[in-house]
Amino acid sequence: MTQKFVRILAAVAVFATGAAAAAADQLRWGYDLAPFPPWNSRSPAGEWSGFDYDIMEALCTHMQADCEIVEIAWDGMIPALQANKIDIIWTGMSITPQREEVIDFSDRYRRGPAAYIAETEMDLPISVEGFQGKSVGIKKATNFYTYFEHYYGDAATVKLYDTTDDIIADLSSGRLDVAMGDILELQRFLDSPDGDMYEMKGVTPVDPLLGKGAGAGIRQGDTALQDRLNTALKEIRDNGEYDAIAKKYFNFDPYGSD
Amino acid sequence: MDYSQTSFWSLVSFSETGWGWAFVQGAWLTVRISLASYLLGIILGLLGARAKLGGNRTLYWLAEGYTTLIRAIPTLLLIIVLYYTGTRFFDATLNVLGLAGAMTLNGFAAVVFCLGFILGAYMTEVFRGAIQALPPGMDEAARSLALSPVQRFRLVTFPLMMRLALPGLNNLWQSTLKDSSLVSVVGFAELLATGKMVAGETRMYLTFYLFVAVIFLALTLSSNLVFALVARRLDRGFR
Repeated sequence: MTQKFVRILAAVAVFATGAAAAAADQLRWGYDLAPFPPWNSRSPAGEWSGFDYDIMEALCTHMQADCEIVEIAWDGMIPALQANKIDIIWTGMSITPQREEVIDFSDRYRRGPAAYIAETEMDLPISVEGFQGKSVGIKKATNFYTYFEHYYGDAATVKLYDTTDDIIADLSSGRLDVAMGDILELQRFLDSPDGDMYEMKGVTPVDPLLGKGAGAGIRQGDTALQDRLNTALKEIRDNGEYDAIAKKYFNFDPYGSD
Repeated sequence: MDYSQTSFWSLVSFSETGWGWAFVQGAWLTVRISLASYLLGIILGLLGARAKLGGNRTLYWLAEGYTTLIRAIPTLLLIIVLYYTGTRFFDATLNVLGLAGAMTLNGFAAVVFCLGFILGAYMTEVFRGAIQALPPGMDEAARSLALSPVQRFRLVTFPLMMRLALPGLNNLWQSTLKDSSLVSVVGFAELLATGKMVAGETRMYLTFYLFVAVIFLALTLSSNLVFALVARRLDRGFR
């Protein structure tokens, strides 16, 4: 009877099997299937590239692991990790207290800072004195606003906006002295012809108000993998590989200074 | 890569740098998932309707529990729960049989099972309503001809009730086509997920979401044609 059942199951298997289960030192990395260049980018043929991808490659070399990419919609990442469909959540999951209740994280591997931009000729030290009397545009309901209000709120006049595009529009027309926001979005403006007269005045340091950055999400209690990831991360931070990759994509430090 | 200078048509072309094939594959996956789960749903729906109307108390309450539970819970939640617990259960079963790791459940089959299982609950109600709407004389006439239960269903009840069930079935097909996009949370690049992918890559969000909407519209419009043909065939003898 059992024999027969096994045979039926085997027949079902022909219809329903995929590859054999993952080998021991094979790591499955969950990628958000919606790319976000330049952090991560996907060609029509399905090849990934970008900062996250390069860091993953470097980590895998150091861990001597066989790495595989699994594309999953962002909403399904944590369930997929818990159901053992992937081993690591990659592509920039911010480390937050709520998430730390259900999964563990490696150390952070990136934390894109916020930037300040203003007219090139303006003298703008990033300090309470520097911001005295300046009008600064920031996006509503962001960590950036919380941070800026906390440190410079008394000195500067803060104006809140819905989108970075609106901030840039007001900066260009002279209604704002300074724009503060996501460094990549502001960099895109600086790189465009409209951004000729402006420059980056500085970036934010690491601060609890700005969040803890992004780490690799792993299953709770998977300390072996956590140690391997953190060791490899430290190795590529120390031997310059991380910085070399960062330079390829950014003119700022995506790790965020301590 | 900067796409701001690239035209929309070259982005959806079938060249090496165009996303044309990705959209074709996404749409094809949407159609395949929908068709397969629809067929499974029809089978489960017929069984469910039979259980509800067959007169057996146990079967009736089983079917009643199935339709009540499934229809009360959001589809997205069901997919996540069924997919992840279902595949876990599958792995656990293998463990018990001593075949741990011998095979993994094919994702496509798992997703089709989830959607079909959900769809079956709605189908049950559509078929039950259609069967109950038939004049009792039809079944009595079939009995008087000494047809077996299987023959009565195949020759009389099924073709007659399909005619009444068709509008409900068409509704369910249209929602299946769209609900199939929910399986992207378990890692399937169907049409909507492909749209998200391309929108993210090119940063042209509105453009590609609208493009996906147009493809979905084309899919539903063309399936309406098929339903119209089936309706014409089932209506033979009624006008």
